[in-house]
Amino acid sequence: MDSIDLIEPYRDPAIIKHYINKIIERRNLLNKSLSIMEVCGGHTHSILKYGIEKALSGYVNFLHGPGCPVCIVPKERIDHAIWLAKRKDVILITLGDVIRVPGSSSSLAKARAEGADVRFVYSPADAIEIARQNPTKTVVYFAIGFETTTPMTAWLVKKSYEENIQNLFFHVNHVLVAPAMQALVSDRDHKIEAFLGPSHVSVVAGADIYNIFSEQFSIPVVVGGFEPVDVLEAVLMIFDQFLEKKCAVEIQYKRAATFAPNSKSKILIDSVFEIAPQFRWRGLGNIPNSSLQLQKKYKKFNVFEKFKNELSDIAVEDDPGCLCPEILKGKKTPTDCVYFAKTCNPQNPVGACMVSTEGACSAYYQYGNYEQ
Amino acid sequence: MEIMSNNNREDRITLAHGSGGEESAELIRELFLPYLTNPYLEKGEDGAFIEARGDKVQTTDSFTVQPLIFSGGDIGKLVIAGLCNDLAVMGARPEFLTLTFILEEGLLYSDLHRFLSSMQKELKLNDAVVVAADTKVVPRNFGGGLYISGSALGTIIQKPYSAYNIEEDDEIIVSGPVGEHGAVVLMERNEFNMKSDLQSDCKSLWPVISKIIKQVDIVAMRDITRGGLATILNEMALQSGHEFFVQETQIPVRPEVLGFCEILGFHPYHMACEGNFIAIAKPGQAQLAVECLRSNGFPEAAQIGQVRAKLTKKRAPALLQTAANTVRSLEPLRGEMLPRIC
Repeated sequence: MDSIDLIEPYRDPAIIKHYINKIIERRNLLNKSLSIMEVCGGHTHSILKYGIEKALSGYVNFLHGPGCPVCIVPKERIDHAIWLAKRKDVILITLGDVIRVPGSSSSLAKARAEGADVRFVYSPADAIEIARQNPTKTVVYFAIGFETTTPMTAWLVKKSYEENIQNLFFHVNHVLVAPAMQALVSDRDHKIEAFLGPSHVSVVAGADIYNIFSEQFSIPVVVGGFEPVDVLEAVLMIFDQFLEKKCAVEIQYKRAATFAPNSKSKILIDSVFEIAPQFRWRGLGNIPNSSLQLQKKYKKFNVFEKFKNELSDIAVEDDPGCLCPEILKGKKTPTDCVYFAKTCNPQNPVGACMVSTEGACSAYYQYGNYEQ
Repeated sequence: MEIMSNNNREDRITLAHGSGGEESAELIRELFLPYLTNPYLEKGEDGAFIEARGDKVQTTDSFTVQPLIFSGGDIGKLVIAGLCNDLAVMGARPEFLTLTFILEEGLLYSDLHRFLSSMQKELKLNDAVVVAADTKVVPRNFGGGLYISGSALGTIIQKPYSAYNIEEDDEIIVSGPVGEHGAVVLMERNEFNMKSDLQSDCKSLWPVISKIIKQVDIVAMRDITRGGLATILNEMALQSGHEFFVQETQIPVRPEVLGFCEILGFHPYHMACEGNFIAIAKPGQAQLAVECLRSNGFPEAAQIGQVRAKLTKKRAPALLQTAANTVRSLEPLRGEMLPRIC
């Protein structure tokens, strides 16, 4: 099969139109619009890139959730990465656009320009090669991501242990989707009527991680793919739940997601990581049991052990005028913020939602909101 | 053509080749001149005397591509096509080039032969000559094997073409599928461990542009290089002071490029081309332009949009009508291209 076969039918203009009409029909039957939070930055991106938000304006109010892994890493942790990278004996490895995220006074991109050895990899497995090739260096992998990237880090930790790699260390920033969502709906004034769950998270962790929302919070969750047809079908499924007075966790992305987790990755993750007592999310603050940390067995790989006294855990707060905390909770939209597209833009982001291309403010900035 | 040389092809560039002494002279005499020779260059003086007639276009560019050899081309082909294409899209026939080669110690003679041979072929296609050249050698690890910078001078054939002349209702045409060069080069740097049959679109545009400007009422042209289609459309729209409106469903993109971009989170409209261009034609001329392109080696040429009313501050310069029939801004490339995380 060609890669195009996996994409084209899910971007077909006629099918998109069909679904939009169906959703409008359902909305009129229900006689109310719905506020749906897409948790993942990838969904926010799709919704704006394909103009779905505009096509469904007045029918669906999309709330953009906290699911951008780069956005929610607090500044003090970015400062750790920069401090580590600036050490002459360190090679700092990370993924994608972590490189351009500003910490409290610099970024990894700036540190690299000043001579720091900062490398981005597409596959974390490359880190082990880099460690082998540079035996005199301390190689630090700044691990980031939700459930989707965790199995790769777990594999890397395990492999390093088995092969007795001495010079590879991990700065773990792996966070969990469901606890963050729970923090949002535990807020009394939340406006979330339904969740659109990211498909790739459930491919790894299963869809059952969301049962708590349908069972305890009466909020339906539909796990959907990232193509426009996927998003629209998932939205339609949410409307159908409301019309049928149902409240359940459902999967639209049946191509790969299941209710149970992927057993191989679950075993791998459970053998390397454990739940950390809490994690400070940029924009959302401390959320208990919302991240992972290395188990005792792998303690020697923990960068916090190696640089125990140097890595500060003092919180670095954002500009108090920045609306990101409210945006991440679905209470405000990027255009409500006075900084948006003025002092805050992708080159000089003020807050969490602008720092990564996956963030809500960044998506608004990129795709604009222009009338025809 | 078999180049006669006393040098073994396994030989490598050494720092002695950059000394300006006998070794430098030998390198030029035995390696460069056989490929690039012409009456201007043969004189070997500090500059070339050129008798100029007609209105001229002058351009400059530099080339640091990695890897030096990629599917569909190499740095030699890229340099000549790149410089000549900048002239061609201005409506000028490429004529006189100057080149500076920054060679890294250790560069293989065999690779240099290959690059010079590619240059020779591409120069012939453009009917252009290198009138002045220079070589420098930098120590190992101080250059990416080979950097080349150059300038080119050409003569206007019909009239100069400029984005500043674009008006409302003009039509926007793209010569072929976008993003191939960018995808090939990124893939062949081996950072992503991916392979495909994709070839760079690297090629000289003067052969087709010399025909199209005679047959079609063209207003402006621009070759799509770094930043890709989206960035170039934004640039042209801003310079023209008019809004560009393009349809996603009309923009040709090869499935391999789309697949590559999907996997990494890149956008095909941000990927570089090296042998395709945007043409802006007078109202009603797009079809003729597309036909002309299609019958001259650009079978996937297409009209992708129209120029609309004057820009206002509130709106983006380039707008895209999506497959979902909604409209969004067509964002230019910003910052370093980095793959998405998940």
